[in-house]
Formats: sequence, structure tokens, C-alpha cells
Amino acid sequence: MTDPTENLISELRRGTLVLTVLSQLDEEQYGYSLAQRLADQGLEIDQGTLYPLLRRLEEQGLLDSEWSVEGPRPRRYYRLNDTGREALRTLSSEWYGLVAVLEKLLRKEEGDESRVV
Amino acid sequence: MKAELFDRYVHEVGRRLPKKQRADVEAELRSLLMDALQDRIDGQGEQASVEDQVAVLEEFGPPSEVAARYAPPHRYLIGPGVYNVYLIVVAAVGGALTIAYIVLLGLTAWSASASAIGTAIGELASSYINALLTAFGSVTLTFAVLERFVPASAWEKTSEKEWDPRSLPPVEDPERVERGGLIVSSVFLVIALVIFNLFPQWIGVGFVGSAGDGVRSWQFGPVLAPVFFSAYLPWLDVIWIVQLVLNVVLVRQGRWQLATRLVDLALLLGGVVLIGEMLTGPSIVTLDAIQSVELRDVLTRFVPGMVRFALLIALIATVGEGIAKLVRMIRVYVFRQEPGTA
Repeated sequence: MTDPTENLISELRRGTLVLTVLSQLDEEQYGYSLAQRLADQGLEIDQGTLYPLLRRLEEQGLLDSEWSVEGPRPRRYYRLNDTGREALRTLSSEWYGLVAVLEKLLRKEEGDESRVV
Repeated sequence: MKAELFDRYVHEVGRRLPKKQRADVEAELRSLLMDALQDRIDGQGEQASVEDQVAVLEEFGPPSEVAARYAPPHRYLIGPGVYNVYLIVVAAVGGALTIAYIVLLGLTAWSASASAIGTAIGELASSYINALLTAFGSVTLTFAVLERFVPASAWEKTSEKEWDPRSLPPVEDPERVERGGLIVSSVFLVIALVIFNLFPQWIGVGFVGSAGDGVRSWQFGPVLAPVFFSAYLPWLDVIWIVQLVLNVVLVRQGRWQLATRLVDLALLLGGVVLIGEMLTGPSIVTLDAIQSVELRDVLTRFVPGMVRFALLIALIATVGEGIAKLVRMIRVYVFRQEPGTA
């Protein structure tokens, strides 16, 4: 049986996935370069999850994409469009709001624990 | 860099996707896999091994899971996760029923008297159709309920530990022969050859009506005109026998070749000419052999029209099939393109 905390962590990460991806697509990226870029910054995302997500975001009208044949092989490049930029702004402010609230909540939690100890 | 495992993986993902997005996702997936593979062997200065491909594929995950993430979030009556199982069950149920009815048909032909044989076959045919519809309906309903209440992941659950990229099935060869279909078609060809040539009195129409004694029961009457047997059946026999020989050759060779494709096309052309002749020549239907006046009157109203309509549909279908096969042949043998690619 898997550790229940593992599931909770992956659920938490999944919730931030769209924001993560949108935040990196102000300049165009193809799937693998985006995965590498995120990994370089310490965020490993399952490739089988990331690539379909790019497609879905494009279907939802947040990204534009085009094939490029300039590299060693044809690649599909994704980039934020205006709707995507707007969504990124909204999600970002939502994120900062959530972080502020959670920080307060978590500090209180830590404070309670230290009192008990 | 050749990466045969990748082709198999991409194919496995692609075949689970809607046709509209398949080619594009496949192209992108192939490119992404090659990127990952390239990155993996960079600096090692060596060729990518099968192990490298396996490692990359394991990172991507099982094809069914990846395909499910690509598929648009729709609600299905029977979704992609269950669809393969559904097809297998439908084929199994349909096959089992058909075999059971073929056995019943054999028993009926063996035991029924010559005068009652037509009626018995008519009843059997109508019960077969009913049984098929009921069975398919029940299976579909059952799967629709399962689709609603069982999570899709339960159907193709392969944990990452269990999943082995080496077990991916090979990409289907477009020229590979579907042996099962050919064997079934051959069985039907033999049945048709035997019935049309040895038991032509079995071919007719049946319906529920009264034979003159006031009692409503299953009625049957042969309808094929002598001209059918003298002018058309010999040609039909030639087409069926050549088709049978072609099927045997194909099953033995296992793969379509230019010669077999040409024979197949010639057979279709022969079929088109023959059906065209039947449509334009003297009617292949006669109702003279039917004793009951009431039955004859009823049948005269719709049987000739129905036969012409059926012939017309058959003509259109055969022409369509011929054109599709011709285009495919030109693509494969003239342009050396694989069918299904743009």
C-alpha cells in the first residue's frame, strides 16, 4: 500500500500544475524544453502528464502552438496568448492570496505545536 | 536513430485517441520521445540501446494512461478505457450466437422435410436477428452502466512496476492479412456456393401471413427467376470461387502483395459489372412459384422493388469499396506511402 502522504503531496502538486506551466510560457517552449526548464528549477513533472496538459491548455484557448522544423526534428512550440496571459494574472493573484492565508494558518499550527511541546 | 520501441509505443497511444487528433499527437509524442532519448545518450558518445528506449518510455508511463490524459474530457456511453473490452465481448457474443445458429441451421436442414425447410429457415433467421439485437443491446446496456459507475482506471490498470515497454505489441503492418476475417468470409462463401447451387429452393422470402386456410403462420416462397440461374449464377460462381482461392492464398501468405491486390480489385470490378447487369437486365425475381394468391399479391407489391433497391445499395457499396482499395493501392505501390498518413 502506498503512503497516504504521497498521494496528498501529488494531489497538492497537481493543483499547481496549470499555474506552473503558464508561468513558463511567456516565451515559446516545446514540450521537452519546458520539462527540462522546470526540472532545472527543481520541479520534476511527469512527462506523460505535462505534454497532454499543454494540449488541453491549447484546446482551452490559453496557449497557441505551431510546428517548427528548424531543429534536428520537427517540434511543436507552445506560447501564452492574450487569454492565457490574463488567466496567468488571475491565477497568480489567487496563488499569492492562498499562500498568504496558508502561511497564517500554518504558522498558527506551528505555534500551537510549540506551545504543546 | 532507429527507435522501433517508440514506434510501437506511439502507435499504442495513438490508437486510443480520437482520429481527429491522432496524427498530430503521434507526431509530437515521437518528437518528444526522441528529445528525451537524445538527452539521455548525450555525452555517452554511443548509440541508443533498447534499454535507453525502455527507460525513456517508463518515464512517460503506460500508453493507456498517457492516451487517457490526451483524450478530451468527454462523457461517454462507452468510454475509451472500456471500449476494447466492449468490442471483445460484442465479438465473442456475436460469434457464439452465430456459431450456435449455424449449428441449428445444420440440424434444421438435416431434419426438416423438403417442403418445410424454407419456413424453418425463415423462422430461424428471424429468431437469429432477434437474438443478436437482444444480446448486443444487453451488452451495450451493461457496459454503459459499468462506464457510469466503474472508474475508467479500473479497466486498464497497469501500475508502473508492472508496465514493461518491451511488451508493447508491434505496429500493425498495413499490408498484413486479417486471417480471422478471411476465414469467416470463406465459410460464408462456401455456404453461399452450396445453397445457391445445390439448394436454390431455399432462397426466397418469408413473412407471417395466411396461406388461404385462415390460419396466420410463417409463409415462405422461392423467388429467384430461371434467368438468375442461367445467366448470372455461373458468373457469380466464378467470382465466389476465385474469391475463395484468393482467401486461401492470402491466409497462407499472411500478407497482401501487388498480385493479390490486383486480383481483389478485379473481383470487385467483376462484381460491379454483374450487379449492373442484374439491375439493367431481365428481373432476377419471379413470384410465379408461390401458391397462395394472397401471398403472391402481397409480395408482388414490394419484393421486386426491394431486390432492385438491395442491388443498387450493393452496387454503390462495391464501387465505393473498389475506389477505396484502388486509392490505397496507388498510395502503397505508386507513392510508397503508408495508409493512414497524410
